[in-house]
Amino acid sequence: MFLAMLSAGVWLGWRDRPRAAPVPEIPAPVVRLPRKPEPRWSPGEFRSHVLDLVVLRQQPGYDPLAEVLAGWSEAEIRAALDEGLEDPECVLPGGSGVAAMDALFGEWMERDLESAIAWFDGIKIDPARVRMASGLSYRWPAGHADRGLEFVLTHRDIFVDSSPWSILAKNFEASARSGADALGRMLERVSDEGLDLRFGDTTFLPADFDYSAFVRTGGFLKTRDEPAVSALLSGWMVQDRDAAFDWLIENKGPSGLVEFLPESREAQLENWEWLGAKVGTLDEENRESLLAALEPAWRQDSIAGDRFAEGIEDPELRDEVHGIGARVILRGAVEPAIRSLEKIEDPAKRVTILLAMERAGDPLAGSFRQPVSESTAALLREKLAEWQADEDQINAILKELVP
Amino acid sequence: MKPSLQTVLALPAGLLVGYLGVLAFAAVVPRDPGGDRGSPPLPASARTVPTESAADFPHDLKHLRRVIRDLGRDDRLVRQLERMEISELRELALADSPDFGKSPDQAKAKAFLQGLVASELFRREGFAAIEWAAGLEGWTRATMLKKMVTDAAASDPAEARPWVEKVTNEYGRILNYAIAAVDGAKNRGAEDLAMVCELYGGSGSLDTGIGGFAADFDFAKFVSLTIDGHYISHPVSSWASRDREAALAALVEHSKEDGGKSVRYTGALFKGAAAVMGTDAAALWITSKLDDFPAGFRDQAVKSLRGNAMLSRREVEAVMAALPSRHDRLLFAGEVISPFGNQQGNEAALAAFGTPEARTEILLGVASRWRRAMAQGGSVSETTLEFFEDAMDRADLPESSRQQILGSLHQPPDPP
Repeated sequence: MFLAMLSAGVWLGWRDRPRAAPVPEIPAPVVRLPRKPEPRWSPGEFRSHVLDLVVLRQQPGYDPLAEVLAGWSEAEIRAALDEGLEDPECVLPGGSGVAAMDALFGEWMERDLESAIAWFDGIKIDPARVRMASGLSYRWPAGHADRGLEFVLTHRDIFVDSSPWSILAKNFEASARSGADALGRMLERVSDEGLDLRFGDTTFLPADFDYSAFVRTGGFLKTRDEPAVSALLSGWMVQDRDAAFDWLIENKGPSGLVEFLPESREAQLENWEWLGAKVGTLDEENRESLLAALEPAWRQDSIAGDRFAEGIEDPELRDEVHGIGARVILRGAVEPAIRSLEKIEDPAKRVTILLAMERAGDPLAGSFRQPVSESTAALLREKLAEWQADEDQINAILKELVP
Repeated sequence: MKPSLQTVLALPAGLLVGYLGVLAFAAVVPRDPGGDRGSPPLPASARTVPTESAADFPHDLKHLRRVIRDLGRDDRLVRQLERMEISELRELALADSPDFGKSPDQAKAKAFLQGLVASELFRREGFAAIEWAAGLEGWTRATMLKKMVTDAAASDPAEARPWVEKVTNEYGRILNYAIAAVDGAKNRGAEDLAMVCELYGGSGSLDTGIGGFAADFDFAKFVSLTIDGHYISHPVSSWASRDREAALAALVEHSKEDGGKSVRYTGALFKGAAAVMGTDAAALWITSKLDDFPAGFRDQAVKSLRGNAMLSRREVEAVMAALPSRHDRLLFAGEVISPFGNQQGNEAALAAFGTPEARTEILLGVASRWRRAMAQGGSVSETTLEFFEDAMDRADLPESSRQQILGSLHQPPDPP
């Protein structure tokens, strides 16, 4: 009897079970919902994850697509590449699909270089071959650098100017592992083949590479003015920046040195300080020349100029650099100029620097000049008064610099 | 028989146990995936955040392109930010934490974090977030403002423009804001892209790009709305790669009304068509269409085949072979040959003229256009002279021709 009633209960329960309310017919979300919500991170954990990610992304050879493509079969890779050849977005330089094409072809080259090359040689649309050539160079397997050089020499028609740069860089790196002389011989060969060395991307040479010996090799001396060869020295600045500084100043001069400086980003600001400290070691001619060469960088980023000044020991020179940084006022950047000037201890000197500036003929006051609002002009007036400028001086500065 | 007490109790108990058991079971088993479709909309980012590994996507080109598009963002970080209150976000960006010291990696991480927070704040608060960031100080202010302004340029270029100017004024060039503005507009349509060209075009850093146009992008409308031809060339190439006949027809029609402006994109048509049909076939196609343009503009159409970018040897050879007349070949080669051009293209254009007389004729024509450069002096005139000396050597010209060309080159320039 109990079992009978249990069965009846099951039937009644099933009849009355809760059902989802009818839902309107809307498209399903395009997403997979989280399988398991991740616990909330503390601010410290968040920062730690960010730091890990930034470090990971900077690792040489970091390739986020490696995992994505690892499971693809060669047939799938080939099918996708064939499909891409029919899609303009995958063929036109700058198209939204070219990165996928390059990644696929790179993966294939890693797995079976000769099969990948055979497919490439079969592409009938010549602009597609030319377009793929630069991506091919970038993703060429570093372990087959010598085969890459052979490929470049037998496919000159598809490489435009310096588009095989990455294959050449891989050959430089492979040679450098055998020492400075080997790299010198490689440069000589590339030069004799007439390959274009007008590229300046960083080549990673071994940490203990002997730069001092390298700059004396015949290959280096023959090609030293080529951008790609100059760029080889950028690692020297990391390995021993003081030695590099001395060689560069002597052989390329201050303007040549500037090529090797980091871009003015926050992460490189320490280098600006270091360089500021080096200025005191230069003779007057080189010092003036270096300041002139660096000025354009400070126009883009006055904070970099201020950091450079912080490294300078001589207070007179330091003020001079802050004064140069303050020239951004000529392009309407009043607030950054004030910040630079306020780093000069003597308020009267700040006023003198502004009084000496002239708009006429200065490129900063040209077409890129930004308008200065009334409130910004008022801020400048207020600062000038605070710095003890008299009314005539204030009016003269405002008339000349923020008309 | 009188039922026992146990039996009397068992009847409702069985019924109750069965009924409640089924209800409880129904409550715990997951419903089918479609059962969630009536839920409130997910946040925008959640709709695109896959929780599976990217490697789980189908192995085809379409999905790979989507994975690559989203590579720059880290979904785990974004999801964490989405769960924070605005006050927490601000605190995270501003905290002077020992986790981020002075090492380059830590400094980059700090800037990266501030950029992520800036994007999240702008996504939630719009321009109010920018107002807040403008009240900050130091590098944090610069980093966050630049990122927010870039996001703003992508989503609302008109309202973002004063901020772009202000931040540029204070901190110098903002990387990628123009690219962001263009990419955002491309997804919204031709009118928006034309507006971005007008708003940001003056900066000289705007490139409308050749790829990434939505499938239904109205190229014809974009061309008709865009005044500055500088921004049209790449979209025309993209258009020609999709539908060259439509692109050509539209430009031919426009050229009847715009004083020949639209004739200037024959090179862009050629490039776009070549990407899908090959250089030789594209050269034959475009040269067969030159007569479609209004008669007075045909010569300009031939000259414009050179396009904005330097042509390769292969491209020059293909066009020279396809042009129907010597007059056309002289016009085209005259545009290609340049002291500051691609050496391969120069050689190919000159080599197409088989006799010394013909080469003299083409170099004379080119020389007449470089008199102003010669008059400038300095490195420009040096390069120009070196180029002509080299070209005459390669062409193996007799002395009389050389003197003729050099004489033309050294004549005073025509008044502008």
